[in-house]
Amino acid sequence: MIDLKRILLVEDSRNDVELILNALSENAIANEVVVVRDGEEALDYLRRRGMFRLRLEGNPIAILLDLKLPKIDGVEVLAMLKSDPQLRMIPVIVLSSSQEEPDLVRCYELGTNAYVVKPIDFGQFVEVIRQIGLFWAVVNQPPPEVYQSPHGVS
Amino acid sequence: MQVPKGVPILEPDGSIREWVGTVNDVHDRKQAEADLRENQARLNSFVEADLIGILFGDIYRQIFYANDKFLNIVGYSRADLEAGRLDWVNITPPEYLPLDKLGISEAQSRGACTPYEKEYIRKDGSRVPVLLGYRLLEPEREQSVVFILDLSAQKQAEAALLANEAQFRQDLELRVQERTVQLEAANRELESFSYSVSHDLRAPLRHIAGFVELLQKRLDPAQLDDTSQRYLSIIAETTRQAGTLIDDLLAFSRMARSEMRLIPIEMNLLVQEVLRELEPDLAGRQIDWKIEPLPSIQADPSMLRLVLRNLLENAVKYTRLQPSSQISIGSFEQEQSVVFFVKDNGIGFNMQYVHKIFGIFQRLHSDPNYEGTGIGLANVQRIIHRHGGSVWAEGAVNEGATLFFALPKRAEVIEVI
Repeated sequence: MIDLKRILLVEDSRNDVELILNALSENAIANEVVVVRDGEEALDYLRRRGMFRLRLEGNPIAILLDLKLPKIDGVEVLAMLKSDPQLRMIPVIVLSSSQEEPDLVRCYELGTNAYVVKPIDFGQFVEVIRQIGLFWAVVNQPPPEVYQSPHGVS
Repeated sequence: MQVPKGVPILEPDGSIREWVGTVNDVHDRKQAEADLRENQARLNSFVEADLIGILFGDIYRQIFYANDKFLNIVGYSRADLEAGRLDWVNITPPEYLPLDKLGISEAQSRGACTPYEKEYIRKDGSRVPVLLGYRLLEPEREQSVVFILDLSAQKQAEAALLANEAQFRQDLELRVQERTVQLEAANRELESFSYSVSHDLRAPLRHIAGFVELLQKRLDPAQLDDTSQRYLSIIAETTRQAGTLIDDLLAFSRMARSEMRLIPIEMNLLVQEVLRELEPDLAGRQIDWKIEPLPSIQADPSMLRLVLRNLLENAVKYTRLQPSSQISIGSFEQEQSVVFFVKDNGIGFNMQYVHKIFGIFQRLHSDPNYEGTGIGLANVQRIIHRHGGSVWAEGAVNEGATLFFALPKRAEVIEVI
């Protein structure tokens, strides 16, 4: 079941994607990371629609969600995830560029599981990603998987 | 004057022979009549002068006589009066009748009333404000002579004045309101601009910092000449500085917008807490601390912590190169406020530039030994201003600095616009 230990990274900046992947591998967190570029793709992935309709079923163990996204922004994605009975148990870690209070409040109100500000300093950045990876991919016990997708391969 | 009263004695031919009679001296009576006429004329000239309304009436409702001025005030004709169509109760708005009743009862006991203001309903239905006073005629004190002054002009002038004043005030308020709205909008815009700029600059900076680091790791230090090595570390260091600057700027902008809650704060405890936070900076330092017992004060705890932290950090920083560092913390009371101060024996500053010390991005030291972004004291000032307090500083080059902040004893939240 190793493929279930995927992390979904929702991030539109290629640079950030590269830095995050780097930080994860630097910290020997070997989970598969699925990268999607915006909110729409994230929802398509999670709901196995569009270009993801043929993917294997199973939810990621955690979603790293950037707040600033094109099309459907992070807050909207969070709202949709947390109001979807199939998806709302997946831990969501919001990655933000700022600790703006309204953003913080809004995300926690919507039910985010964590809110992390990306540090500018790369050393600190790597450390933050290490802690996230370690906690959510290793320490934390993800919710039990419920297979009830009509597209399921039996 | 003499008035003869005589009978002639006639001659047979009809000619008068002599007069038989009396002569009455009527000089006094004539005089009295003339005086009376004169008085009457004088009185009439009062009544008909038409400067003031005058009427004779009774205390019940009748008007027996009125001069033209009164008729003019109430807009009725003499024909109306003579036909008995004029009745002072009928032309008095009901709400003034109690006032008339009071006046009449005063006049009945004293002979006259204290003049008072009322209104009449004119024939055309409009109202006219008047001042009136009357005397009741002896002995019954049921008939009255009433003097009525038309107040329309005064009232109009007064109303116009009031309206003018109200208009002026309204205009002024409106203008102040407009300006405030504009100012607020401009401030918000500036605030959100600086916020989004700093926010958006964060990502590229993070990328530069990250990729420089990754690059440094990929390059074999042995293969890299000293200059290239130095360039790379300058890029890394500069990026780090820019990052700190932007994070400070964001914190500064947040400080203006975040909500405040005022609670009583134990300053002594807060100082101890902040000193604990500063422990990493204090490692290896010999500082002679003098901390007086401090009074507690109403303030927002996290903001006040930031103020203290900034001031103590500065004191620690600017005494770094002194052979023996001394930092004291104390307070004193003023009438409306409590003043706290942090005094050090550090490098100080030239009082010539004291006005710049609390400005954003203002740094009075270019010495690389004293790093900083120039936002700390701007933040201190902003926080203290939001508490309705004030900040100031004293110092001299190489003789240390004292930074003061005063907080009102009766704290109230000041909204920055």
